[in-house]
Amino acid sequence: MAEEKKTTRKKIQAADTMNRIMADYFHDLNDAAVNGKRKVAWCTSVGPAELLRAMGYAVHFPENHAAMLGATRMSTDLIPAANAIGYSPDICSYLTADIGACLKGITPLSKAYKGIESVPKPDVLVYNTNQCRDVQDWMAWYSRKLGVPSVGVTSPRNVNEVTDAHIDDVSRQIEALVPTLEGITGNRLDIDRLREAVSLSRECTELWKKVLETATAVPAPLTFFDGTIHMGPAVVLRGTRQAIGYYEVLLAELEQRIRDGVGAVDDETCRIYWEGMPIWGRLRQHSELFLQLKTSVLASTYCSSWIFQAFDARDPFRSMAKAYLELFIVRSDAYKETYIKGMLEKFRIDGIVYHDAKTCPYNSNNRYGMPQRLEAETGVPALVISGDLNDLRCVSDEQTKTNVEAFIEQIMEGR
Amino acid sequence: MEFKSVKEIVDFCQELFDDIGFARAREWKAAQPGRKVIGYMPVYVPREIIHAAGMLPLGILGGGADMEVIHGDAYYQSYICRIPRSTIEMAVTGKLDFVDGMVFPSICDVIRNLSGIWMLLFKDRYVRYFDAPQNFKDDIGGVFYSNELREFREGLEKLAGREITDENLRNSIAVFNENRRWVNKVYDFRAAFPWKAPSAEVYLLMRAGMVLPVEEHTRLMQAYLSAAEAGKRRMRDNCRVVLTGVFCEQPPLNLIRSLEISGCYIVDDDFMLVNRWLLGDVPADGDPIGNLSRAFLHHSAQTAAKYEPDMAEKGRYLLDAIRARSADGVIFAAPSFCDPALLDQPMMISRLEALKIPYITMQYAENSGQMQPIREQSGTFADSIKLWSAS
Repeated sequence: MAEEKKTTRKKIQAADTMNRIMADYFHDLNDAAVNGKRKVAWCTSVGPAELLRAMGYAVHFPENHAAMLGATRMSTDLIPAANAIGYSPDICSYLTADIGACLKGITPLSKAYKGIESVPKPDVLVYNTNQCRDVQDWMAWYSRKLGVPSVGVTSPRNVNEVTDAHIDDVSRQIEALVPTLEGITGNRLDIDRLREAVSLSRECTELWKKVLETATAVPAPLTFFDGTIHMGPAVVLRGTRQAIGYYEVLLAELEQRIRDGVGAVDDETCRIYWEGMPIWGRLRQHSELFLQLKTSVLASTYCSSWIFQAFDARDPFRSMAKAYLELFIVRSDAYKETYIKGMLEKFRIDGIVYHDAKTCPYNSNNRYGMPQRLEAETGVPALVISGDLNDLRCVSDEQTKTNVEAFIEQIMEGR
Repeated sequence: MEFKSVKEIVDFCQELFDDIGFARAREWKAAQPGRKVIGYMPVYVPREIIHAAGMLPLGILGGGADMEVIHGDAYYQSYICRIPRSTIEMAVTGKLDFVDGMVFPSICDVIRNLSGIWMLLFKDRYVRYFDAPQNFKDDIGGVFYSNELREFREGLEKLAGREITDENLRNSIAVFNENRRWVNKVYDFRAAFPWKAPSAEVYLLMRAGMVLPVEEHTRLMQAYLSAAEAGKRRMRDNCRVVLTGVFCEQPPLNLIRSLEISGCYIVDDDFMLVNRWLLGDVPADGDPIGNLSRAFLHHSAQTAAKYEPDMAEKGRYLLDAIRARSADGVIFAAPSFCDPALLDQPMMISRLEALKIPYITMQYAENSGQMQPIREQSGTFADSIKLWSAS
C-alpha cells in the first residue's frame, strides 16, 4: 500500500484569468436573456456553435451546466426529481441532473455569479447527435416544457473514415437550420461572419491542442483534472476571441513550466491515460489520490475531444460538418483503438484508467472489450473503475481508492 | 409443410423459438450450394435487399431466457443490457458459424458497438453497420439513406458474386409487401378477438418470421389465421393493453404469458418491428431503392427508435394504436439500460397523462426469472382498470 502524505495541488496562475472570462461569459449570457437584446440559443457541446455565434446568438451549453451541477455535487439531489417524472436512473445523468435542476428551479450559476438568478431562457434549442441520441431527447423535453423550437443535426455514427457522403449529409443538415435560425433573429446569415467564427474556432482548437500536448513533456505540466476545468473556454467560447486570448496565456505558463522542469505532480513516476468521462463530483479527490501516488493522469480522450482540426474558413459548412464528424465518439471501434494507441505512444503512458460511467454508455469504451484488446496489443495495463459522471450514488470512493492504489503499485512493480 | 390446427402451428413455432442453434436456417443453407445467410439485429433493416440477393435474412434477437452467458460477460461491463452479451455468446460458441454476414442497424450505441466488436472478431465475414437517418427530409436524410441502401446492395452483390438487379429488388419488395399484409392481418385479428389469438402465440408466430424464408412465413400466418378463426376459445374478462418498449431485447416468453394470465390482453405491441416498420405496401414498380427510401422516410412506424421533431406529433403513433385497438391502457416494458425505450418513456407518459390513459412501467431482461412480481403488477393494473375505468 502506498504511503499517504499531505500533498498540495499546484495552482495554474492563468486560472484567475479563466475565471474572469467565464464570469464575463455567464453574465453576458444572462444579460442577453434578461434584457432581450440578443436571442439565446442552447447548443449541445459539439453542436453548430459557430453558426449560432455568427448569427448573433448568445449560446448556452446545457452539458456545461450539467457538468457544473456535477462538480458542485448538486446533481445527486436533483436526479431524483427527473426520475419522478419518468426518467430512469439508467439514463444520462447530465440529462436527469439538468432536468431535475429545471424542475426545482435551481442552478449553480446563481451561487457562483452575483446577479444571475437562473439559466438563460432559450429562444431556440440546437442539438447534434454526434455524441449521443440523448441530447435530442433532452432538448425535446425543454422544447415542450418551455415552448421553444428544437432543431438540429442527426449525425451518422460508427464512422471509420469520414467520407464525402457523411460530410454531404451533415453539411446539408447544418444549412437547413439557417432559415429557422434566421426566422428567430430576424436577420440573414452573413457568410463572412460565419467564416470568421469558424476561423476563430480553428485558432482556439489549435491552441487547445498545444495546451494538451504540453503534457507530452516529462514531467507533464498539467493533468487531466486541470484540463477538465481549463477546457471551459474551449467548450463555451468556441468561435470567439476571448477563448483564443485565454489559451495564449495558459500555453505560455505551461511552456514556462516545461522550461523550468516543473511538473503538475512532484516527482512524477507514473503516467496515466484517462479514458471516459470525468467523475465531476470527485475531481479534487481523484486529483489528490493520484498526486499522493506520484502519478500524473496527463492525457485523455475527453479533453482531446475539443480539438477540431477540420475547421476551414474557406468552406465553412462542409468543414464544420467534417469537424463534427471527426470527433472520437462518432468513430468506429477500429478508429478508436488506433487513436488511443497513438495517444499512449505520444504521451508515453504507463497505464490506462477507464471510467465506466453507469449512465453514459457512449463515453464508456471499456464496455466492448477495448481494455483487453489494447492491453494485448500494446502491453499497457488497464484498470476499469465504476462510477458515473454526475450520479455520485454510483461511485464507491473506497473501492476506487483501493483499485487505483493497487493498479499503480502493479505498474511500478512491473518495471 | 401442411398444418391443420393452431396447436400444430404453435408447436412448430415453439420449436423454432427454442432452437438457438438455428437448425432450420442451417438446413436452408445446406439445401443448395452457394446459399448465404445474413443475420440482422433489431430494429429495422430492409430485408428486401437481402432477399433480392438470394440470401436468407435471419433475425438475431439474443440468446433468450435460458442460454447461459459465460463468454459474453467477459466482453461487456455491468451497466449494459443483455442482448449484446448473449449475441456475442452465440457467436463465440459457434451458434452463428453458418452466418455469412451480419447487419447492425443504428438503434443505439450498444448495437453500434456490437458491430465494432463483430468487425474485430470476425474479420472474414461481411459486417455492416446500417446507419439509418433521423432526418426525414428527401433532400437530406433521403439522400443519405439512398446512399446507405446502395452501399448495402453493393456489399451483398460482392458477397453473392452476382448483380442484384432492379427486377430482383422489385420482386422482393412484392414478396415482403405480401408478408407485411398478413402480419397486419394477424395483428388486426388479435385486436378483434384477443382470446382467439393469445399474445404468446402471436409472438411465436412473428418470431418464426425471423428464421423462416419470408414466403414460408406468409403461408404459416395464413394457416394460423384460418385455424385460429375457426377455433373455439373462451373469452376472458381481461382488459386491453398496448405493450410498448419491447422492440429490441426480448422479454422471456413467460413474461408475455404472465401479462395475459394476470388479466391483460395485449392488443398491440412493438415486438419485431422489422415486420411492421413500413406501414403500407412499398411500390413494386419504378426505382426500388427510391421506393424503399421514401417508404422509410414517410411511411414508417413512429417509435422510440425514430426521432419525431414535431412535439405535437410525438406519441401520436401510440395514441392512434390505443384508439384503433380500443385499448384501455398501456404497459411500458423496457429492457434494463435500454436508452431508446427509457428516453422515450417520459415523453409518452406525458401524452397519456394528459388524456388520463392508465399505464404502468416495468423493466426486464431477456433472462428475467421471477414472474410473480410482474403478474402482481399487471394484475393490479388490470383490476384497477376494471374497477375504476370510465369505460
